[in-house]
Amino acid sequence: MKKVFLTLTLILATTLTFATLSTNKAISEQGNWATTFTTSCGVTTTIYASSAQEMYDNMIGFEEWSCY
Amino acid sequence: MNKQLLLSIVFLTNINLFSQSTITEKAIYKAIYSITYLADSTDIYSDKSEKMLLYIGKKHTLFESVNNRYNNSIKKDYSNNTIQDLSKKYNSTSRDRKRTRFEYKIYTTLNKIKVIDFIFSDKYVYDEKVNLNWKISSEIKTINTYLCKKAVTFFSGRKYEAWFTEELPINSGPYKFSGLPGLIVKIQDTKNNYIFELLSFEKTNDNFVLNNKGATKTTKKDFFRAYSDFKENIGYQLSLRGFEMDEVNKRKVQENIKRNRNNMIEIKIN
Repeated sequence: MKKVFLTLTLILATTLTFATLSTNKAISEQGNWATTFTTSCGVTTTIYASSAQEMYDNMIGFEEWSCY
Repeated sequence: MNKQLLLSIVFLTNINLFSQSTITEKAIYKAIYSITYLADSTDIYSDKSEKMLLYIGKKHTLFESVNNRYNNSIKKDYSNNTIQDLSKKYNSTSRDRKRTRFEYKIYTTLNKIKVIDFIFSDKYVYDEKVNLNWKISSEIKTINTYLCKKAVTFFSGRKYEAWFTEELPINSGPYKFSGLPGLIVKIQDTKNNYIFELLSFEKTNDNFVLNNKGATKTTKKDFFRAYSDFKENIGYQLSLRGFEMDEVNKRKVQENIKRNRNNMIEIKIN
């Protein structure tokens, strides 16, 4: 039972991981919702997102985790 | 990828979408506390402080960071923005935002607690039952003009010394501390890593809102496990959220997290 659960968990997580990475790649190729920005403490990153709200929320989250 | 990380991702992202609810309550009292904490347990000079707000209503209390409350008040809907607008707004809003390490909101009713907290931009809610076994002593002293009595307890891996006042017969306090026969005026752990001190107490007509809209329901144990996994695997977690950065910048983020997030208030989760 445990093995079945663990296997299903692995499959689901792997699917999600690849789905997320593929989405980002597609967005990146289309040039939609991708931007490079620098936080107030000088960390530079490029972010890809599927909507403006998601991008903004992640930019703010990144600022807080990388600087404070 | 370790098993724990996989399980956390699944538990926290795919299971138990919480039934969303919003409850508005009128506060009767408003207390402002300072929190002074050691961000890095290995550096005695890493102390930081913030102001925290405790709303006390008839049924519930709400405890949250003053800065976090302000940041939420200026948060707007960005769904119809262009990328150029968003970059401009990020620059101005990130300037306007006030820095906080405490994004949680803690709602208490009797000894039941509902916590809404974030890991990065993901919102979670969990319920907690706190049974603090207070030991009240005969020691007294005056703090902030209030005559206070001493009480001690253990909570999540730390021993705390609290000073409460029966001049304000309200069994509330900062963070998850309550259940004494008077408002907690000061509470600190015995290693002085976290100190809460009452700055002001007044009547108010403000409303406060319990809002778990968009939050994923989880358990306290899973939340803290996922938080810990997020910190330890920050590079991988950021790539999952669509971030790309070079090694130099990745190292900056890792160093900052190591410096600022290695001394959580709760160090032993049951």
